[in-house]
Amino acid sequence: MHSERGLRHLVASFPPRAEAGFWVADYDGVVAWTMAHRPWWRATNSGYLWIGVLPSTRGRGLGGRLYERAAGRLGALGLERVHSDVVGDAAGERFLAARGFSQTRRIVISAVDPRAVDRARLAQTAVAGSRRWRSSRSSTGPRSTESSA
Amino acid sequence: MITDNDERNAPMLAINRLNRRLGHEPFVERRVFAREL
Repeated sequence: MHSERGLRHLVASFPPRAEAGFWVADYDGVVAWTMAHRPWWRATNSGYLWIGVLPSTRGRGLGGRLYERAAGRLGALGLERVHSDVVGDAAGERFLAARGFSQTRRIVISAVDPRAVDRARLAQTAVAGSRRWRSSRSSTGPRSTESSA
Repeated sequence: MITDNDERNAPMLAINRLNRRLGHEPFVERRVFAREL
């Protein structure tokens, strides 16, 4: 879920070379949105598509209509493939699967509150990790880029 | 503090397993999908 402020910042950050398109469904307020763009940070024939629909307005076909706009935009740009992703939303996964998408990657997101970390344990873990690293380095032998003539 | 690691990035996932001792826990997955246009 994105905040309105976060989305506005994201939209404003797209450079012209992203060739981004944005659409919203507005029923006395925005209830669904989509955007489609080129990944501007690398050369590729793939595009990226984002869709968000408020849970209270799902099941009315808004996401599907927005998807058609966004996918059409990417196709018009001559792109051959479209990527999208879902974070903890089974309905979002079903939405994509129903439109022919297949899962390609899984990314594990982890978190810790630094204020809750036990500093003594952190120090022990750091020392143990350092020993393990040194041990693995010594078992593989010294590395050298020099060659004997 | 949040980290995200591709499931194919074995070294980073191994580090995360170590970090679990400190309370650094996986809490959600981001699944990437694709289709041909």
